Amino acid sequence: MQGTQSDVEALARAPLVFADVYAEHFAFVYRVVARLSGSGDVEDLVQEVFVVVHRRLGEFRGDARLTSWLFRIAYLTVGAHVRRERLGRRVRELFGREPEPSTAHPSEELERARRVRAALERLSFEQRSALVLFEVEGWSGAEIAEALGVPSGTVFRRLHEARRAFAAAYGPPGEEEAR
Amino acid sequence: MSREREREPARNPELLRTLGLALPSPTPRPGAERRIARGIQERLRQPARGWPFWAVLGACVLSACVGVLVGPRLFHAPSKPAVSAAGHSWLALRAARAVLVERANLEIERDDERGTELRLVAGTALFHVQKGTGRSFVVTAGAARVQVIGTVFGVTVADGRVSVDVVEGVVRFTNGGVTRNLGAGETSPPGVHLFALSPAELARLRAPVPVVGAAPSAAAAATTAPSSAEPEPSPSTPSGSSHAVARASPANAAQGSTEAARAAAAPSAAETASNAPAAPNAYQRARALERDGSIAEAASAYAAVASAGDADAEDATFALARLPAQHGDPNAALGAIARYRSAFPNGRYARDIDVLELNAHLAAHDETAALRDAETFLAHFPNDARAWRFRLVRGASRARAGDCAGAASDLERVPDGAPKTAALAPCAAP
Repeated sequence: MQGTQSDVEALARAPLVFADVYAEHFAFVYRVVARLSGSGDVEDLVQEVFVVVHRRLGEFRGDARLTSWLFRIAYLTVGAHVRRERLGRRVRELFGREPEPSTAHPSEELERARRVRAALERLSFEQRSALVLFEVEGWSGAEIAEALGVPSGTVFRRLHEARRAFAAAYGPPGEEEAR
Repeated sequence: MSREREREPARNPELLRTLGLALPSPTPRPGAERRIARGIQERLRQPARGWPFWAVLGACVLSACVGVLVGPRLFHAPSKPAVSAAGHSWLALRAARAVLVERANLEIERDDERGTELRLVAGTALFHVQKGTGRSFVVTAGAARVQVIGTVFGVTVADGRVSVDVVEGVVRFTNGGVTRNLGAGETSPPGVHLFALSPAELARLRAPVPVVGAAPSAAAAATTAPSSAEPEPSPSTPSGSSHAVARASPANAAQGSTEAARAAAAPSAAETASNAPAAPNAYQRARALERDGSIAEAASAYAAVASAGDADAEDATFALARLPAQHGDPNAALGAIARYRSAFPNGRYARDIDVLELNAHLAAHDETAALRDAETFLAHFPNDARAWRFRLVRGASRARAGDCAGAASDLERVPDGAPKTAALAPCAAP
């Protein structure tokens, strides 16, 4: 049904409602957080993102897409979490408190997953985000650049560095099968 | 094809498969949405998290330095808002207490024996209004208005949008021409709670308010001690001042901005209590008439102020455009809008006038003029906080004209709470 002009006018004054934003964009935020974090804390991080969204909703200016705004919050939240986790691990390593890897023999697939995670650990959060969004999520360079608010050239540089660093840490893709 | 496009590397399917081994599933586990929603609700009920130790230490050192440097100045300027350790400013009014969160900008238009009238220009302010004083207490924010008898509530203005959160009592909230009562626990918009105070600050806000100029009752006298460890700010009451401004920025409070200086120039609570209250000026009388619902008399009073050409003339001229727009007379509003623009081509309300004009054209069912408003506004102020209203109108118009791609482009930048589906309905029709 087509809204009348007065309907449009009245509803145009309605501010964003958090419950609607949550219901409509939960899956998007969850996916972004899962892909960017690469860890098992996804639900905690999604909660953290939406707490920030709740606090900042009144500041959303409406001059950008809501999904871009949500992505930005998720990116900053996950980035801060990843850097905090890495710092904590380094501190624990320095003091010899990092748990030893399990001596049990994992399955081949689990071992490969562990090696992939270890290789991703060698990348900066920015490089890893560019790599995951481009290769796994299938975003274009322009889409990543818009979401991150950086030039496309920066995205491609990060992508190039990420591929090189990942290959150095893990080995070229496909090498596993060749062995 | 752009250079960036040409440089875009090919995707590597092997890399996709390899990375897929280590990344968590992007699909939420069953019940995750409900679990996370519960977690968010619990988090929002908790008080704001404290600062880390190093931040508290740094703040203490900084506070000590600031105290040594500017303490004497603050001591001699009791009318400025007192800034708490959390960065909030506390302001004592005649029968109310206000907390200005961070950079809130609150103008005190009137604070006398008849009532208090405040205008929240930006940010969040929370109020505890003492019950049973018989005084009116009104907070305006943009075109919205909150009227209370006795309650604890908060108001936020951000990017032209007004939110209200009621903790105790009932407020009458008017926004967009719609008036409704909000009770304890209710917010507008629903679910958007504003309170970011610590339990101690909330307790201090909720403590009984000393009523300046009234004989303290035994009950009030027994309970006026502050409930938190923080010292109660000096009872600074810029009473009777026209447009005294209280800004919450600690820097302003410490260094004394122009606005803070104007607030400081207002008589202190003690002076106000001992002297006869200043009579409201003509503009304030017009506001009081409007507040009391005497719209025709208010319009006459505003017209008198506007024609006098004094410091309140612009406010009054804007009010003459706002009144008919809010009370369903778009043609009168359009005439007043033209008069405002003629008198104040670069006025403080220039963008608000643009929105009033758009709404007036919509109310008058003049689609051509509304579309012209939208095109003009978006050409000049595409990044203004109000731009999405104009995009919504242009998008709806494009959809009606069959330009679905153009409509979608406009509506993409309209917040999801707005009726985008209704605007796009012509494109969805078979």
